[in-house]
Amino acid sequence: MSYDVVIIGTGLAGLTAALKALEQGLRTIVVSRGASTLEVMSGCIDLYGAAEDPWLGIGALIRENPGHPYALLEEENIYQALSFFIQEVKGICPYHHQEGFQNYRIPTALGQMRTTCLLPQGQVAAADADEHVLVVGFKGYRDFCSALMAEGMNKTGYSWRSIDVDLELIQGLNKSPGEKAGEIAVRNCFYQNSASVGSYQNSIQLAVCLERIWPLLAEELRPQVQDVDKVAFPAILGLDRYLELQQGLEESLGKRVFEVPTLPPSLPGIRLSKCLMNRIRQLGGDLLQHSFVVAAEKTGDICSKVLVKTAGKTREIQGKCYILAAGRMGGKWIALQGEEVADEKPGLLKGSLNGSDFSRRQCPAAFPQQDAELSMAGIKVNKQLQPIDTEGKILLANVFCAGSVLAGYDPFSEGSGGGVAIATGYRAAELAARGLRG
Amino acid sequence: MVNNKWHTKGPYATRANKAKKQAWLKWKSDAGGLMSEKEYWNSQKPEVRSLNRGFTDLNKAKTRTWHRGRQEHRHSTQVLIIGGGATGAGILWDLTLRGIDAVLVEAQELAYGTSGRCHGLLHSGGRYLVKDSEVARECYDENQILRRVAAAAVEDTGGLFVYLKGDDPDYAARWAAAAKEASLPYEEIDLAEARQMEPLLSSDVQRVFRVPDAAIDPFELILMNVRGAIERGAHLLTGTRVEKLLTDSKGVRGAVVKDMHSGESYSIEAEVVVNAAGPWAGQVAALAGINLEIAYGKGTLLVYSQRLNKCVINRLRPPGDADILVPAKSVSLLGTTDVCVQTPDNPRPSQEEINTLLKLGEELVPGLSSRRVVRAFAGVRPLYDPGESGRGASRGFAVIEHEKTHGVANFYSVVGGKLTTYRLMAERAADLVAAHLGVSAPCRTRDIVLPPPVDAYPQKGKDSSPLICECEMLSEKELLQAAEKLQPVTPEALVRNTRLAHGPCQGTSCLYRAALLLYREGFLSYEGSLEFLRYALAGRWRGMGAVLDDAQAKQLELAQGVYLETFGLETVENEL
Repeated sequence: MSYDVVIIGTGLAGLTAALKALEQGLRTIVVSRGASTLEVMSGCIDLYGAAEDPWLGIGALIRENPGHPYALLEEENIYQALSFFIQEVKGICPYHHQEGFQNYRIPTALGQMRTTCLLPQGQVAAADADEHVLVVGFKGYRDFCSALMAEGMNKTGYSWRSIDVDLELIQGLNKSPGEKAGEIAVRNCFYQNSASVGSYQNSIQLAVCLERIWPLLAEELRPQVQDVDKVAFPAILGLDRYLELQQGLEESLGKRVFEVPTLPPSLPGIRLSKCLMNRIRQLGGDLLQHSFVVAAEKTGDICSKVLVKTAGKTREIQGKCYILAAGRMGGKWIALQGEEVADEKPGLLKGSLNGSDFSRRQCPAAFPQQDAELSMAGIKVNKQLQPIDTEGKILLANVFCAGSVLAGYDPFSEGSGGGVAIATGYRAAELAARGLRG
Repeated sequence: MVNNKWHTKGPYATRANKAKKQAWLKWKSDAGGLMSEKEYWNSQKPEVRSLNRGFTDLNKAKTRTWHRGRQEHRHSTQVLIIGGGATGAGILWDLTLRGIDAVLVEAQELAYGTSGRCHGLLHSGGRYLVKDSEVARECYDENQILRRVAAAAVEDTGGLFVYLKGDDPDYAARWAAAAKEASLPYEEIDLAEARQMEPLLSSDVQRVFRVPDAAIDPFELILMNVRGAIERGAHLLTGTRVEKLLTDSKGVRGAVVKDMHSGESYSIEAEVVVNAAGPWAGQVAALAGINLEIAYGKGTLLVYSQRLNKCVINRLRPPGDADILVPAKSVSLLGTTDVCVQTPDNPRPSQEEINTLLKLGEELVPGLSSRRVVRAFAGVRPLYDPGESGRGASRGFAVIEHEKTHGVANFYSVVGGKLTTYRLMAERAADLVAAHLGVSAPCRTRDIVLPPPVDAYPQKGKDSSPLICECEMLSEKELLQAAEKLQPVTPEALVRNTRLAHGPCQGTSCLYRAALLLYREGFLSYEGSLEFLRYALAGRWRGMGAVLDDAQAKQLELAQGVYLETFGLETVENEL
């Protein structure tokens, strides 16, 4: 198999890179070991910092912190990348932003406030948190406590209320619209086997269930929402039909509704990753999931092909260039060209991205460019996003790095994970295309 | 899971029942078969029930913060014990059984120090056989006693001493000879049998000896001692630091303590003060103007994500680094190292130590260095052996009567020793204290079976409450029961006593769920929940931070993403 660009990793960076590469007419494949990292993230995309204006902080980074991934880009690049991202997900998984990509402040499930830059449709109503909100929880659902969130918000001067809904009760007493007798039998059979709402413990299962029974939920809640401005739910309001569900609830309750992200698996993240992957397929890109790179061949400083372990066999994939977006530990792919390995199989960059054949003892040596802390660890790159060694020499000329594989930033303390992923993913694809055109 | 010693179903049932059965068999042989099994267990039960009441009373003022409410202060007692480790808890139990009124003060929480940071190995004595056969004998005797009186905390895993090709053959020969001479029941078994028992053993193994090692849960052990004592009228004050020792012309007569929660200081008058502060014993003795030389030997241990071995595996060579692999509940622990440190506070595993452990562990069990390590932790051994330090220092213990050595009356220090001999240390200390007080009641800790750490849970199969922690199969009901029984409910105590957050994910999902549940049930306030999360996460992340390889690094990244980003939890002490 031969491609213009081979992208390794299906996180936000890899998927953005793929879309940008496809937009530029490159023949593209995305290889990933497992599910997208997005599926465990909240669906919000953080740009930078906790201040209202992230750009002040980014400007300062670009000027003063040359090791930071943002400093490899211009503000203009970041702006373009965010706009591109919003454009790509439009309609299917709409994202919202403020004028000039300023930060939103949203409440978290622990009743704390946090800042973020892009909000999915389901969470956008959370942005200007109102005085009066009803937080709705579900009895037996372990991952969200409405009372805790409400109390947390009330500590900061709001006046929120909480309520817990018993889904079994509302289902047991009512037949949901359009449900056939056979379905009820199946449902009853399924739920009767367990004594409690424990059967809803999986967020995805609950979300799918809610797609079906939300009219009952709305009916149950209608008397409760008279005196509130908005209604908050844990982020489990539907999987594929979530837009429909949200709209239905809002119309039926006459109030705006928002979701609050909680523990993984995260529905907002799953919806986004599905949307991005579908878009890639739609644009003619290939996706090779549940497969991982076990080795790579290099000629000089050019990576010529990678061996990808797929179900059943190991395939060879040739790419004119590669975008490495395999996450924090993905760096070992590059790093594994240490002498010890090179002697073993000359010319090969051995080692899987997440592989078990990578021995712990090699770790310190294998991350020559890493900082002492995990959060800052990663690959050092030049302005072209090509990996470099400590002296600044390019290690692989046709490999571009994006996302958290990059060294020099801490996505969580800075609140910059999503922004760096989108901006560097977008930039890597641009650079790859430029490289190919020559 | 920890608390489920009475299960007849569930993943731990077999082991728990085994321990129970063993306790009974031991009892039977000791009692000359006077009691039937049923009678034996019935004789244990009323005690459990009455204990229950004692704890409910303590919990009467159920607070909505994670720390207990105001602890009832005590202003006078016969004996004041300083230090809530195994030794202190053992002394409390021993004195209480002799009818002596005692109060235990602990600056942090039970098992905070060395006791809570060890292998959890109930030595058979084999390790000390060559160097000090007396210590070996002590270990063996205590091993046998604890299997009987503390059965609920002991898992009879059995142990192997393995001689690897390349190790000193002379040592193995001397060891075998010493075993014979000491007439301890150590037997050489053939390699095929050993390999059947422990398939992961290195192919370099040349000789194997079977010894009666066992795994012991130090947290349960301490809880059991304290619980038994409290039930009989003793008092426990955790989070209470000794600030000053009260002295007069005759000697020590109490202490000024500070309630670390309320910040209030008050004095407790006592006829005798016992210093069982482990590595901090020197600091406590200094309060009485006594210079007690304690050397600190830091030992680092690795916790694997799963249980790799059935028996304790010891390497047959002079005690050194990474030569014991102990199965503990659902995990295995590899240790230790021995590094001389200057302070007993906050020992941290170093990268160098971890590399040493992995390298040497690989020799014992091939593949050990590439298996998933979920965390690392370090403890400090208090070594009392003037002149020697590190592994050269004696693992023996001493009870110092300061009236004789330093002219300070009513003051005793218990120093050195090890977990296996904690009961003996307590006995010796209590003997002196009792003699001093003119109490003639003998020690009864050899014979009286300790109560289980918490009450029996409903059988696993009947517990239909949802799981809080999938890694450790901890249900909501179990967590709530533990919270109800634990006094005080601190994050650390809860985590330690329920195995919450002990699995491979190290609390990524279960700590949040547990905080929500405890909030909902009124154990935690809003602030308490956040504090619980911060505190417990900091502890978990610290342990993970030391062993960041592939899987665990990703796990940590996920956890940080969830708590710092999605939940916007501000960590005051994000120690990573």
